[in-house]
Amino acid sequence: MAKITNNETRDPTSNGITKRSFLQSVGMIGGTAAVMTAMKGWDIGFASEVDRPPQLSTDGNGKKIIILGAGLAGMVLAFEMGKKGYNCKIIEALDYAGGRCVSARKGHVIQEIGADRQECNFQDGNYINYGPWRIPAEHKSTIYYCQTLGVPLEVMVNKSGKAYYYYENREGPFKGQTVRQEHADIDFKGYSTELLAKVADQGALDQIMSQEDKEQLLEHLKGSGLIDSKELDYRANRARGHSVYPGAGSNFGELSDPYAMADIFSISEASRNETADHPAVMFQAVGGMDQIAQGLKRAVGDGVITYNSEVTDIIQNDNSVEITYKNTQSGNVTTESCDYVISTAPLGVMAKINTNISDDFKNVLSATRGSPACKIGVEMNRRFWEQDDMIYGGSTSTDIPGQRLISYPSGNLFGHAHGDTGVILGYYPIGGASVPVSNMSIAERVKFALAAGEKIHPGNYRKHFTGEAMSVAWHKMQYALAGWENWSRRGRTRSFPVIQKGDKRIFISGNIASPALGGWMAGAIEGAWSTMEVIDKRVAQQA
Amino acid sequence: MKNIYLILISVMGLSALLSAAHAQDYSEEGTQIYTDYCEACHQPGGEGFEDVYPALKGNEFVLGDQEELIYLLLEGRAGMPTFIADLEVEQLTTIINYIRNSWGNAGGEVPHEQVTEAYEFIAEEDDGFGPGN
Repeated sequence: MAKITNNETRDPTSNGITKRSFLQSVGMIGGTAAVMTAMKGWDIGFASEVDRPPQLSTDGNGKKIIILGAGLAGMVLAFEMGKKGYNCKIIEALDYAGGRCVSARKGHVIQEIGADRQECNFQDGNYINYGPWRIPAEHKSTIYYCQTLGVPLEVMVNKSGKAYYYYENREGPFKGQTVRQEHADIDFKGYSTELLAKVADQGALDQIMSQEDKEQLLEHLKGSGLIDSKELDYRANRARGHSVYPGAGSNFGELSDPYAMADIFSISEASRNETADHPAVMFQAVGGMDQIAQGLKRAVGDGVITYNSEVTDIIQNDNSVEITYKNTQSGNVTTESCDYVISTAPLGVMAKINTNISDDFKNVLSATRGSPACKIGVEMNRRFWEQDDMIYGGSTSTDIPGQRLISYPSGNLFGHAHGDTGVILGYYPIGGASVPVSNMSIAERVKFALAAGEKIHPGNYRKHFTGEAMSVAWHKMQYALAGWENWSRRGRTRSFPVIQKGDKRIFISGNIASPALGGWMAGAIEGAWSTMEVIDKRVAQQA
Repeated sequence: MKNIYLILISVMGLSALLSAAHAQDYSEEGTQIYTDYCEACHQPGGEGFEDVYPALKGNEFVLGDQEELIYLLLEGRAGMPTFIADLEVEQLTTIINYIRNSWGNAGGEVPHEQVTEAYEFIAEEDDGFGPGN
């Protein structure tokens, strides 16, 4: 199979057909599943492949589009389609734009179903991204809007070797103890290197590799600096670092001693957290991820978004769609007619709307699932993780049920931006594991976060807590009912292809239209891009 | 392969009969799992929350097709999450039987084997996509 790298935009076997247009034509013939198969065949995967919005072929032909939800997807649709001439209107249930792309800072309110109202009282400059919080380099679509809308990005340190692993539910010498990630990660790599080098050296791989390859392999393994070149034993090394740091004069420092191999096996699994879309270096919007939503809101312009409006009915016929919504403040009911409706509402929310979509389409929608997710931002009055632990960003990974990780803020490093203070992400359980946490009261969640954090940073975590925290259980937010949605395994292959076609005049967009990017901002954006293309083609055919 | 399924189906049928004769008591462990994983949304007593989270008490879906209910717990559905990564097969069997037979629900027993079969079927289909975020 010819291999094409991700950077190539043209298929060398064709006559100037771009990869994108080829995939589009595959899609027209064979549907989304065929596109995915073609993409897999090219080894380009499902990563965020598209780096700018599609070129729409019509000027909208005077069509009116009503979009449900002023989240990233809804605003991208209104912005891009509006630019071309479509008459777009967004109906938003909440009183702000951004949906789940939101940050809590002073004055921000979080109100969950059945929970106490929380109003944020963090110090000026402090915030918690309780929605999306990290952008990988390969999410070109997200970066595209930050760049074109003037939303500055900064580095988000996703992995810091100085942060810890903390496991209290595994037997072994590290039970209930913090271990530096760089120590555990390098030890695992070092012992693996040693074992591979030894078996190769002893001829155990001769059946599966040539002599020449074996020699090259050994050269690479020795070159790693992790094993000594004669005995091939893993030993103290500079990747693992020092127990006594080197300095001036005759202080050459002391290299730290590796842990025993058998012991390392009890802590190395978390290194799997690092994937191509969760690399060590990621990005975040300066001042809070909600700045991306704010950038889109400015781009969409005034008068496009109608706030505080809950859609109750979407009824379509052959020529139009009627949408009815209720003002959540005044109770006033409005009915409006349009040519197409695009819902970016989370499906749990969409399910409560009275619609006349076909039973087939309804069935397809049920092949999705909401993912619960919980977060808490815990404000600290001293950056002890930096000053005492040398941790600058990154996450400590734990097996405390309901916690999963502690993430240290990448903004305001050293307190340079606004003083010696910062907000730690105190827990971030996702999926079923987050449900027990959401069952706690707001006050109990703070207690839980503090107790868990104190185990990682004894003597500091409780002491430096300012008393201000903001927590969320996304599945208990009325207009979200999930952190994100994705497709069941069966649904991805069997049901998803139906979604993109829409049901007559009603379309489903947003992250649900990007099954491989569920929960990512790129999923919302590229879902919107794919929907607008489908509608534009429909409009072009009618013209 | 077909034969294996036939055997499985007959084993399941047999065990369903046996289970009906010696219905297990899932209430103690079921109560705990319900509190931890269900109550946050579906509320104490399976009452549900207004028109946001459906009541499980008297719920047609819960009391209906067993296979559909098993897949709901394993895969999620619409707004409902999957619990396949969080609960063991035994726990899934327990909670399915608990919600079908609590608060006046009388859905009868779903055999363990039926849950296990679906669980393994789904695990086999895992195409390596984890959750995003």
